[in-house]
Amino acid sequence: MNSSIVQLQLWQFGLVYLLLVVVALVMKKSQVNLLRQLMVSSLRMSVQLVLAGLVLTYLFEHPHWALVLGYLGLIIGFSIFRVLRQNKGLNRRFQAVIAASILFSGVAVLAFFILAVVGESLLNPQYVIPIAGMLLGNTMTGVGLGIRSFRGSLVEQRGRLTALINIGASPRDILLPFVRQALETALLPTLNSMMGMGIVSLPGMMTGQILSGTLPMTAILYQIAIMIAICTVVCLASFGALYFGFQTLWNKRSQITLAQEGA
Amino acid sequence: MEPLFSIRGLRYLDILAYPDLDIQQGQTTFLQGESGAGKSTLLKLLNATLNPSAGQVFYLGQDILTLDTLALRREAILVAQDAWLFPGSIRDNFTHYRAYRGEGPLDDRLLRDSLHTCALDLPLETDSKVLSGGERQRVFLAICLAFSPRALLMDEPTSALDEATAHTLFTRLTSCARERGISLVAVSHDKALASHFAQRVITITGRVSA
Repeated sequence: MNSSIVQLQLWQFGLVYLLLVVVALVMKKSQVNLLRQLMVSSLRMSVQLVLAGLVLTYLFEHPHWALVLGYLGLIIGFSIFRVLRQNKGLNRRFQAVIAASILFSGVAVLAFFILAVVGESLLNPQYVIPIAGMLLGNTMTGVGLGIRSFRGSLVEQRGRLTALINIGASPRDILLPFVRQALETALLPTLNSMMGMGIVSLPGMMTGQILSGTLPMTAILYQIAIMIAICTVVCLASFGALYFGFQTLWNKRSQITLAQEGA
Repeated sequence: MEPLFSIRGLRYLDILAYPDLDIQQGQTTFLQGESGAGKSTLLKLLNATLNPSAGQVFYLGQDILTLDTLALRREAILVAQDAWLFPGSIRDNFTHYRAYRGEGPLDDRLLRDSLHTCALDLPLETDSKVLSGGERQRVFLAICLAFSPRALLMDEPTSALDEATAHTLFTRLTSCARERGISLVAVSHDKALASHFAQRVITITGRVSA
């Protein structure tokens, strides 16, 4: 096996943006009005990743605990911010529950993975940063999806809520089926991607490791470990956000309020 | 005998201000008034699904703020105008709604009796998908009746019914209510129905305050 890596020249790298021209042409032809979003997303992704690359380069060369913790805080803070921004109008307690669920699940699974599975220091940026990024990125998607699905089905089935409230059912019993359904929605993408992994797709982390010269079996062991960690963190964070969050939706008089006061 | 409900100085969101009134137990009371007078809102204030901005609601002489809200709603069930039914048969709907109150399924005979009282003689296996608006309303009313409540607060229960069916419904419902001591409170625009079945008609004038 050839373990040397082809270093991408800037012009070679630039070629990949030609693919976006194809996407833009398809959008124009099919009159899909997402051209601006495609440009902004691509630009934002490129700038963010380049910046991350520069920061990581500095961090790996100057591994200071404060910088590692700061970067970790940024990853966690940003994922919480994104989930809350996608779900405006939630009451303050629900927002706090979501933030706490993401924070505690993320840190707990990350600590277990780094300390127990990898056997490295929690302050080693080479492990902590990329693994935290993968864990929190998936958590952000899972929790965001779960909360969106939960609120969507509550709005869609408002008649059901009203009828059940009117006959004297408890808000907890009324809302629990919606929590279960949303939890399934949050977990399904992760479970589905695990199903197809190795057959349909070779995941990014594994591909990256193989491209950089790691033996496929080592890369695969890392990938299996990270997928199980992702599944766990998505499950814990979604469960925490939904199960403890839904209990903030009714008051002492058993009245269900879906939106924040005044929102 | 204490009134079923009394309201004193009741206001909602400074939009509606209700005159003080009593709704008696064991009677059929019709609430009438112009659109926007606050009739449907009053029913929600009575079963504590809405909070008043001022004033008090008394249930059997007790301020509802001091009562267990779920117990109040189980005794005085609000039957909203838009009935929501679970996917599945009429029987499934009885079962699901009863399960939410922690009550087991009833015998088919009792379900048919309840449906018959609500002027609906359909097989219990009928899928809720194929029911018309008026039939859905009556299935939900039958489900509520089968809980044997102390009172049924009905919001426009005949809005989707023709005159003859509305008449049959109220003939059977008032007769059943008399036998079982259930108080009926109905919001309705139907003056003929009220003049025929109401023991008391209250005109709601929840005026818009300045």
